[in-house]
Amino acid sequence: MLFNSLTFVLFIAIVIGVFSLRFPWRMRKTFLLLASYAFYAAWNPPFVILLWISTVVDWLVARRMHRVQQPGRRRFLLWVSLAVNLGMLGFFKYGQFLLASFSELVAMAGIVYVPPELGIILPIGISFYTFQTLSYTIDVYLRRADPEESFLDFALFVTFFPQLVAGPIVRPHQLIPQFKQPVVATRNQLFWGLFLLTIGLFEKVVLADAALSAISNTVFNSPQPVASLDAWAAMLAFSGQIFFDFAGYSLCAIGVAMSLGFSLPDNFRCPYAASGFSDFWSRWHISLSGWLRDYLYIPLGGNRQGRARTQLNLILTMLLGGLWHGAAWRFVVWGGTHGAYLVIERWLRQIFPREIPGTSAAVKIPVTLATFLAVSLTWVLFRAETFSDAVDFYIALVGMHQQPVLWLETFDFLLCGVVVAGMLSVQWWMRDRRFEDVVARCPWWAIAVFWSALLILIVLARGESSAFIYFQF
Amino acid sequence: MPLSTSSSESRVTAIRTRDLPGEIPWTRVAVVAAILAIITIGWREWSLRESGSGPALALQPGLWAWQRNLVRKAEPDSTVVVGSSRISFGFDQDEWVRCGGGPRPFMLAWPAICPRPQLHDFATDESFHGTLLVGVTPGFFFCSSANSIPMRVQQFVALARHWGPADDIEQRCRFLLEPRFSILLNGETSLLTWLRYRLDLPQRAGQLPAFRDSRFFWIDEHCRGRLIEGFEKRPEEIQVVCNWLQTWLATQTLYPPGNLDLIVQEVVADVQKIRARGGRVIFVRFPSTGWYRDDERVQQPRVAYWDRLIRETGCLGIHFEDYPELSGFDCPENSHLTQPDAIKFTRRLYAIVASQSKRGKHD
Repeated sequence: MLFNSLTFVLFIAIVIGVFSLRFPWRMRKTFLLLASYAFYAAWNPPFVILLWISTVVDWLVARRMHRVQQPGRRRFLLWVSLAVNLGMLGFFKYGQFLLASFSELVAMAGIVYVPPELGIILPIGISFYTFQTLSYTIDVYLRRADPEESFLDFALFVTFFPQLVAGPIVRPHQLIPQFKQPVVATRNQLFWGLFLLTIGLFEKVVLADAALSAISNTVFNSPQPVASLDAWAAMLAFSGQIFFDFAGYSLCAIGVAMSLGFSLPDNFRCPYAASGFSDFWSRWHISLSGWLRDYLYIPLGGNRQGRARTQLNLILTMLLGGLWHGAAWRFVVWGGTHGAYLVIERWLRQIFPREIPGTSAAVKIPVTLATFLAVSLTWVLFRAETFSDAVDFYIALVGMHQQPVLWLETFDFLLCGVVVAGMLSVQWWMRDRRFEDVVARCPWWAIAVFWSALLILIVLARGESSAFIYFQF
Repeated sequence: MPLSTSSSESRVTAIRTRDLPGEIPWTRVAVVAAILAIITIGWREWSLRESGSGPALALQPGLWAWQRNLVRKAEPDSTVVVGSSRISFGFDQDEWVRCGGGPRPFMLAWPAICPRPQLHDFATDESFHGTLLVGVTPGFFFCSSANSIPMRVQQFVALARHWGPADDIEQRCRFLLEPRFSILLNGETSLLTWLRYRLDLPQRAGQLPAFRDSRFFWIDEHCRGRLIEGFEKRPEEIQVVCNWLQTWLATQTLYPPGNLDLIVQEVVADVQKIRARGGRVIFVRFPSTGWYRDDERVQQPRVAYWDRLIRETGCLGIHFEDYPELSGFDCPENSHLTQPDAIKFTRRLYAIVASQSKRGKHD
């Protein structure tokens, strides 16, 4: 079920209405769990079974692991959880990719192997909830947390519908404690949640879909080489589109949870205002980068085992982060490029320890724009359908195509320029501010006018596409 | 935007409750916002209706996928129409039934798509053994698989295959709301499109001609398209649509031509699968006129394309130029039949199909 659908309007109205009734807390939580299963099953009912498997296995494994003292048996239990969760993820997300890669590998040795077309459907959100449940088992294994006592609370943690299919990826300690006490959204929470939901929908429906997606689609889908100016506009448009699409979803999730009385963590903090790549990753998809840091980078040794090992760990973490995004080599290269960026940044920090990140705007602004540009260049790998398309696109960016096609209209450049410049300006201005503080300083009528403007634009400026980009991950 | 909490601050402590932006009179804010939104949206609704943009179903893949799933639930020997806009606008299901064509055929033809993925969808649908009427608009039928616009039908097919309860409810909501509110129309009524047309900024030198969409047809809940009533009497609108179609044809030359050998080979394979189950495939070439027909003669010459398709599939093929009773129709913008002509054409088409079927030559 998409947040930007009429079905969701019906669904959320019913859920908020029923959940706010003064029934016993256990009954209300059970209702929320059932609603979450309904939310997931509304897309493809049989795949709820995967959620159940993940929930039951991790619940049982963690409890058993807590009771067992022998390290070998604990490790075995951890492997059971990893095998089940990563096995499902591997089969559904990477099965076809692995077969195709194997086919290409053996082709190098002159062996012809045509992999069968498995026709596997990717269960929506599997990458997100797999990481979420894994964090629980690993925390229990590392004795950073005790296993959850209540199966209902644990099942709700795995399945909580606002963040189930596209994050934020929530850790057990962030969500489960909120299920312990009866929660009733206050009027302020309800309206603030709906306000955030509206902003999230505006980002998705108006900015990502209506304003930017057509520009990037037109150019990226071109059958002929495109002009340099069109390529630049499309790349910047896609940078904006992917941000508004994903940050919009995250904000919707936070808003929906808030309107029910729950708090979800931030997933984006003005990432395009980042000065540097480590700063970028502390602002973009925060819940994933935090997960990769805590469950991959640090266990690999982090930055404690010398410079060369640190660089290797960074690259490995980002390569796997890339692979998490999609079952294709271009995502791996995308991750590797970001790993390389981080390594280069560390190296530059050693050469220019005082300038980066600079305290003056004269240094910060160019560094921020350079970071945005470097990140935008990597989005080409995300958007292009194949490697060769991406290479063609890079060639177009430097204007080396002969007789390129001019696809975009003047209006497209104007629209792209206004939206991207507006996005960068707002993120720069909001860089060190909190949205709550900004809203608190506004007069009530200004908030009302702003809110109504968002609603009007959502209704009147809808785009053609609707699915969230990150659903495919 | 930075909100008040972070997921990475702590690994062991519980999350803080999110901060709220102080004391704001939210009820008043929400009421005023709702009133302003309702007034503005209401005004836009009124102005759209005043300008003749009455409510209609939006042209979106869910409608097609809904209809495709109705076919799945129907009798396996149903008649199904696939193709692009010519057959969608030019084939009248009710007239077909009146002529004795049995239960109402399902319409799965859709503007600006290639019917080959539809044909393949039915070829791989083991339950289907009915009659498939395939509209052949040469530019779409023989297009390259890399041509993203006609080939977007592959996404339609995928959506129909993975149709879930949420899609079903969504489509029902659309059936309920879209015929009542003009603001829910997609296309040229969207605010940004309106702004684009209104500003009409000068174009770059050497740029492709700009698309200027105009609503010249509507589609019903059965996926049946129709030219807007009286369209043929409005030369200015006809000219806008002709410009649009010419722009479309110009962009099509940018795509690599389809591999005809491969296309015919795939179509033959799909036809054989349907026939092996007792199904039937009939290809129909609906009329085009004027400059559009001239363009088709150059881009997809009949002998090389249509005649070869019919010869190699062995199916019944009805080309409007082969039958005097199907020729002589005037397409207002050179590509589609008007609604009264669609009724006449369907009646005559039925007579030809019935007579050819009696001979049993192609079954």
